[in-house]
Amino acid sequence: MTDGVPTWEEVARDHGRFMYTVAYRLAGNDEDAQDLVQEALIRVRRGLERYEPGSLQGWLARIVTNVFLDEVRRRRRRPTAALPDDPERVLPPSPGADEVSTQLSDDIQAALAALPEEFRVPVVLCDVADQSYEQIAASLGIPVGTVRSRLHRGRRMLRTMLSEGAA
Amino acid sequence: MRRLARIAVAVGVAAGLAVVVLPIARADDAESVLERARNATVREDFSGLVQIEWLTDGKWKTARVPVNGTGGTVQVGEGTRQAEGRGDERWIAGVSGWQAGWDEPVSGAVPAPSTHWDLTLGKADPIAGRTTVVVTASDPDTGTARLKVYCDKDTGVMLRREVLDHRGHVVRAVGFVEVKKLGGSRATAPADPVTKKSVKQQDPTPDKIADLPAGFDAPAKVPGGYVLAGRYLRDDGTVQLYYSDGLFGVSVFEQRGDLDWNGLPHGGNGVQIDGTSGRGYEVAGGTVLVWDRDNVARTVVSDATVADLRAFAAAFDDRTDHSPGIVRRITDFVLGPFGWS
Amino acid sequence: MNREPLMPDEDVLSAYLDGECTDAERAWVDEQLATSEETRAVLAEVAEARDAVRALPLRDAPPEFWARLLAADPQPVPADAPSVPAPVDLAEARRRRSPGRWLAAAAGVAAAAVIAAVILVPQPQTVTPPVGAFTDAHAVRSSLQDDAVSSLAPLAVAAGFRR
Repeated sequence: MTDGVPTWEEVARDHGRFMYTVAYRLAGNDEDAQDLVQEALIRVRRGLERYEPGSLQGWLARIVTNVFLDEVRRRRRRPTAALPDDPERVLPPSPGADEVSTQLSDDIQAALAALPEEFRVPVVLCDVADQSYEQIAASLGIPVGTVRSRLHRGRRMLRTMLSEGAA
Repeated sequence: MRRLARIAVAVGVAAGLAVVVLPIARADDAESVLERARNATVREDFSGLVQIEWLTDGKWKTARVPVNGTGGTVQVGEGTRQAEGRGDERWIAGVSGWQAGWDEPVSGAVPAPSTHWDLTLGKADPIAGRTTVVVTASDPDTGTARLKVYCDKDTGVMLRREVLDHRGHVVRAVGFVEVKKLGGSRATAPADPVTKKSVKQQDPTPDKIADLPAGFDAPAKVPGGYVLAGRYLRDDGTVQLYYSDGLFGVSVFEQRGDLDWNGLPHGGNGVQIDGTSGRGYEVAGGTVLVWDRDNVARTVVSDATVADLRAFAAAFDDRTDHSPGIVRRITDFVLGPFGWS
Repeated sequence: MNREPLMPDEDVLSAYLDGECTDAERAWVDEQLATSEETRAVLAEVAEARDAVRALPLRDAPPEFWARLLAADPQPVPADAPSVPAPVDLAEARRRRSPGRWLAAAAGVAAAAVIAAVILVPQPQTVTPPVGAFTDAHAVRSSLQDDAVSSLAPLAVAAGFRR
């Protein structure tokens, strides 16, 4: 690291797993997560020239999120699957007939993936990437109050889904 | 190390105003307050709310924990996050239920706090509505206060513990924000808490060991006033050491092998320990440093400051004997905004 | 079924858990918690969801992901490539699968070998300290010779480590 700016190798070595985790929790599946990380690392490499030392993981989380949201917007223009546009009608994940989910983390991941993006992104940035409300607001270009309310609604939806899934 | 302090008294004027009076007492009075506080939560029944505060990356984090003590059993937390202590037994509640954490007496002696620290005793503002005294522990070389322990004047229970950095700023604290009950007579005989089922059947306590496996280190003393007070072997082969300088405890965990960086928890900061790269975290449970050298991975945990723990880690790693003065001067350098660089 | 909001600004409860509310808001929540069972119930629910996500483990990419990135022929980045890339059509990128482009441009072959060694080659005798467990073990041990409340209290706090 020079003057607080990491080398590309340091980013990959020390934070590759973090970036992949954030991407996976946003995208909900490995295939999309891989694409997200690949694109994000391209942007990281170019962005390192302009990077000002600060919260490195915050910066990396922001890049992964931007790539994710760019892809979401692209897919909305060419929808490949029906996306719920009314957040109040989120459906809880329903496992297949012969699918037995014994791992709690699978259930939580499925519930996360079922959240609309506007709620999932703040939850992932806060509870997976450990970002502050201010950092999340800056990443998403929304006021801190909006971060707070979306985060809270996202968490309540998650809890509802988890309790219904367990019932 | 012990000093007689001058006693300064100012008396108020008759209009009912009381001028602040701060009797400064002998160091051994301060030490007896600390000693009394060590076991007070076992002697006294209590209940309340405790808050843990810590600085991480320049930002304060807090967490609140309900606590209570009945008949010598101390309980913290509720629901799926609890811990309980009674005598030498410790129990921790996790998602899968209660697990035993310890069940044997400890025999290693810790140094008296005044061995390494200058102690003074004074009055303090009330905490959680309780009349409070404060023991201040200062670095004898610099005079800077590094730890403040606030105790209930009546029962001796520790109400708050503040860790200060080398500039005298609080960087970590744990203390009561609400006291519902403290002291008073005990109505009933203490309940036996050992009805909790342990999920793991093996002995939870690491084995005390006299000799270490080859390649591991456990110096009897570490510069900075730390004395080895416990030496154990865990089930997975990890060597666990416990050091104390009388006020700060440091746990050292040693494992054979090189560090798997990708396996470390995410977050934290890069840190240099005597020329070796490591990773550091600041969490509710303290400051944690992880690094490896010569095929041994080490993890140290303490509620001491980052800078002090780095100095401990460097001194532990370095087999050369340093004088305490040199270690303190290293610690007192401004090493970076938060002591990581 | 989603409940009606408990209070007009119920989202202060999330901010309370995250340490992101003002002192006044915190005091207000404390007051509500002391007097309202419903508030306590809602807080517990939100904390449950928060803790559940925070407890999720780190996720590893499949091994072939990194191998694929390093394996393709290196292609230099065009001199006129924009400094900020346009949003990539990821479906198209998936079809192209030219993962070597960015790595070679960024790091060079020697560094790529370093990354491969770090990411792909199992390191002999590596250990992964269970940092959370060690922190808990420290709390337990220090509680045996120090004030039990202040030593044990961190054990009741949601894990500060995420793997």
